[in-house]
Amino acid sequence: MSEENKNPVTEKIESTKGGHFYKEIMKDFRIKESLHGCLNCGTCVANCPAAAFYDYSPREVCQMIIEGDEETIEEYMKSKIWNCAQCYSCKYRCPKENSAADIVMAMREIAVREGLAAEALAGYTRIAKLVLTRGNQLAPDMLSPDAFPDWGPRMIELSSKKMEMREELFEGFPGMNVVDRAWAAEDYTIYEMQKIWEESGALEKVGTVFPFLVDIVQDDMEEKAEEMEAKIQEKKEKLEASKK
Amino acid sequence: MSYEINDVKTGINHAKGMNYHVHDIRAEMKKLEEEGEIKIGHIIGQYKEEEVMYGIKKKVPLDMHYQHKSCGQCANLPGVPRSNFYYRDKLGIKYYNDMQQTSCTAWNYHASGLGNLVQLASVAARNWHRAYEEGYNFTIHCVTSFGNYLEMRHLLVSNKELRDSVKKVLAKLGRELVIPEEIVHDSEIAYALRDKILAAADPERIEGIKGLRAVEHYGCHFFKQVSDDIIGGKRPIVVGGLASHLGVQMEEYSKWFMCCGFGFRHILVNREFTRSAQNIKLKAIKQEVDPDMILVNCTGCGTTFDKTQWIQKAVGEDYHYPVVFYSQLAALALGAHPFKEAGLNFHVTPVEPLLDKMGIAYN
Ligand code: SF4
Ligand code: SF4
Repeated sequence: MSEENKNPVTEKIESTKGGHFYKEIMKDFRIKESLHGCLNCGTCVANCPAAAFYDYSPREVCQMIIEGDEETIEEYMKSKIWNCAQCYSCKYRCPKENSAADIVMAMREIAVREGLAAEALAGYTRIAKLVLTRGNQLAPDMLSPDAFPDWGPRMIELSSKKMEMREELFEGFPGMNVVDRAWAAEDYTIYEMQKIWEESGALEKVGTVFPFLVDIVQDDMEEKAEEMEAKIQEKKEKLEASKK
Repeated sequence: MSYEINDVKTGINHAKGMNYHVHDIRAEMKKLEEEGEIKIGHIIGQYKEEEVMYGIKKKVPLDMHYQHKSCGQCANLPGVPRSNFYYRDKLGIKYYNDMQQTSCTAWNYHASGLGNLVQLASVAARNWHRAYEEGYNFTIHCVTSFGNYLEMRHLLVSNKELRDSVKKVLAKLGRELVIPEEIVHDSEIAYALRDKILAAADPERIEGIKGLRAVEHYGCHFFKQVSDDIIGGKRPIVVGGLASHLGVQMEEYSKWFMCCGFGFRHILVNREFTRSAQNIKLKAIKQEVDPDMILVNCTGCGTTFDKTQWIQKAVGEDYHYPVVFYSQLAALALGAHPFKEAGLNFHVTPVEPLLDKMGIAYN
């Protein structure tokens, strides 16, 4: 870490506070960039859409870390962090350049790791599965009118005509007219994505919420491994050769 | 205790001035390149310089565009990527619609906390490397991806530990870390091309556009997540800048800054929040402007504005503002068929009244 990134405030808090969640949060290197002391001015709250509708406050997020207030931190870890819209309005407006948004993100990661996110992620299975098996996050098929009744009658019409409409729109653009994913990423590409999740430890984390998904991904990878690893080997050799 | 800590930091802040975070990412990248720590994917071909915060110049590539797509747009508002292709075809810009790219996965990350920074940065770097190995400039359709890639660039440049972890992952794929010289959103490109778009536009279409009244809304991840590398400085200008160049009359409204309510997870599982936030925005738009359309550059915001107007009837409101992306407007100006080539028929808030007003046939 460069001199620039040293933050005497967070270093000082770190050395004086306790609490399990607090210690986990402080391990995330983003915290150093996200806290520079807090004026308690409430500018962040005034700009926070989550604070407008929920019992939630970005000021409190910053204060509880500065204070090392484990009780409040726990309250946030268990549910309140999921109220944040991740809009970064707090970061943009804070005179101290604090970022409650980034602190919340670090906390969400920990909540998943520590098995506290099951309720928050109920209803999230389809997206997680799509990311890990198709390389995309969204598909036209997921936007069914029964899942989004509040999107109105035109949604029903659209949903029934989407195939013809997409065909017309994407004539001459291969890979774009698909409905089970956003675009037809190649198998090799999906394999690379899966490998990234595995190598980075992210797949293991997925297992804390969706254990069955890890099995699906690993089976999928195993099936393709021989062919795909041969391709990767070719790529590695090409890269080596280009360095010489 | 907090008082003491605040006191310490206040001292530092004053010593450095309130802008202590000013840094020139381009200079930092250059240094790392010279040290052999990273490679930079330099701009290929012609570019135009536009000013970002602190007067720093951002090079906007004008040709050889790798099209890093948006999963939300392709699935939900497919007229946007189609319009992005359309205006390039019309202007003779070479682009690459690659099927070996993945989603940036930032929507997933911000919504769920699934994944981690090494994963997120490796996914970014793999997509960057695709553009590099194919010989194209990396350009981005989605605002979520744009904000994420700005942040990943920043984290990769400022944190050696992350950099080393990502390099290790990439090596297992036979790839290397090549950070693009510029992280550019498609709306910045369309803005940089505004003269060319106007020059190539259909005069009849421009006549129809002239005098339309519009408000703009920018994605939060376009300018709040990393706020020092967008054209125009602290407040974005590219959507309104392009639109007014084409003849649209841009109007101000008091809630321009406010988040649209998308919230990444809220749009899926807490839509009462989304609808409530929308009501505040739409109310201000109606009372203060009552425009012909809402112009946007962000996948999530475009979805939210388009999909959340009808339901406001439940609270006695009647909103009917067509939601149009900057590139759909550009495509219309260049003569695109509003449905077959700009995909406006995929929007659920009716666009027909706007097209009628513009004198554009759609059937
Ligand atoms: S805007 Fe910044 S300084 Fe003010 S209360 Fe919020 S976090 Fe603290
Ligand atoms: S990022 Fe979260 S905490 Fe910050 S303003 Fe937006 S909703 Fe509030």
